[in-house]
Amino acid sequence: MFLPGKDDRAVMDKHRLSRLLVEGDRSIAAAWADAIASCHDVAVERPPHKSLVMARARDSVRQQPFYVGEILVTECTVKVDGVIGFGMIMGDEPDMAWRLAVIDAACNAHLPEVEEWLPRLLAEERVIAARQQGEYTKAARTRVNFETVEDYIGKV
Amino acid sequence: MGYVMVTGGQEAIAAANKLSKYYRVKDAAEPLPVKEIEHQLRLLIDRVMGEGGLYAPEYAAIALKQAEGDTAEAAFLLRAYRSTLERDHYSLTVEPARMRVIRRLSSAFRDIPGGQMLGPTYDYTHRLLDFSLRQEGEEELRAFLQQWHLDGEVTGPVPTLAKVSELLRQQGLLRQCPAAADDRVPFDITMASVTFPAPRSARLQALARGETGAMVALAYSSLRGYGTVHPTIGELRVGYAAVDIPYPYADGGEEILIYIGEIMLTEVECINSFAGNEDGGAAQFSLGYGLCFGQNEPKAIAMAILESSLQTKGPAPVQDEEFVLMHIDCVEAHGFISHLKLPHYVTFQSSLARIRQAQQQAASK
Repeated sequence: MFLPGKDDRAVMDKHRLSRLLVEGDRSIAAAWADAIASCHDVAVERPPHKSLVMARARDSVRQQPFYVGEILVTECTVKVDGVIGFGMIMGDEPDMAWRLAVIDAACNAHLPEVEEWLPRLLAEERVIAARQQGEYTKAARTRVNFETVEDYIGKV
Repeated sequence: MGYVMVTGGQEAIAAANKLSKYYRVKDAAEPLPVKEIEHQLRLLIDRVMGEGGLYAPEYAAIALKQAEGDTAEAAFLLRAYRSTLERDHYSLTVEPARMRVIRRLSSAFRDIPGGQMLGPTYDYTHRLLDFSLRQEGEEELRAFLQQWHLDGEVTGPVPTLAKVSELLRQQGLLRQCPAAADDRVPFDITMASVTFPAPRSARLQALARGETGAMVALAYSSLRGYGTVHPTIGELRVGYAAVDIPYPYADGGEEILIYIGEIMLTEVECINSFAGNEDGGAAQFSLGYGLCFGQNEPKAIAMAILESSLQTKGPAPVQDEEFVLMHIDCVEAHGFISHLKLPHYVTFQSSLARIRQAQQQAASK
């Protein structure tokens, strides 16, 4: 999407961008979307509204897909300077859906502001990774080694 | 069966609604914040989302508050709400194999690559009432969380843990499954009525949103001998799985994905007794599969037992697909039981007339 540079970390596609905005500090999306809206023409095509995503899964017995259930999401479609943008996030989050749509449209329109975002995104990616590592570390503290009675008796 | 409309009672119904609210709040020291229900009654929220078939923790908390904690009523509220929404999107296949695991165990193998993690569980606790919870205060909670965050060094990136079933497959102990099956479009029980025999995808979807208690009871019946399935858990994992959808404004060509968040899932693969394979080759294990929203281990295990059981033939209730699938849905089951409380005056009057007629005939003989 933007800045596919020498360093692989600098390749920021829609999937990576949406993950960082959804999982990261919400103030980032708020600041960027507001900045775009203050300098460009933002038209709401479909206002933020709640809808459903059907979650598809695959059973590991037959490798067959099935639907595990639906997920409540909020989605929004906008145009920034006539270029379309789409935002979706789980839950009842109308503001965030609008911000995601504005940022997506800004990227699709190759607005110059977008070029400034990459360092902040990469920094946020590290924050998210650290948070998730922290959560995993807490779970890993409960790692257990079960022994059979025979093993136990053999040791003592 | 015929039904006759009954009119009247609107004022009484309105008063009954107010009375329900009165009983909900009359002894309350303060209103119960929805956020606290969502976060402190985590397992209850997971159960309601699973049975309502809608992953929406905040709305599940509202539903539970509204229903005064009645899980079936809360699931009904979620189902009713979802029916008001559009559904224009389908996720890519959610992959529990790549989830951020917080709990993982195997009762079949002691040593599994990546190890076993007890995670958040009450499995190994004494079932003693913790009276200290009566005095649990904000400061105490804050101190606990502060200490908890300080404990332990953060190590390396979050690993993805290989599935135990894959290891068994690699060793030829499980039948290799055809990968092309992924192309098939699943049946959707929210859009079409199930007929029997049901497609496997319909069966799994119905089980995934079945009622925990009903499923556990039926699975328990199989373990007690009313059926043939008594498995060993090859792997149980709980964790967060990423959800992606195709970008709706992609201009063709390469598929573009966007990330919309994570859902917590419980996945169970249970290993059943082995049998010779269909080609007459070496004996191999067969698997049972369970997957549901949130951390709901009894349900996921019961799902794996029931779906295995439905692949066997026999006279037990858990071997009867229609019996199992039609009786595990909490909204339908509770709805039908609850309807008995509604006026049946005309149908009962006809029964009354018949019994009086029979009595008169008997008396005249």
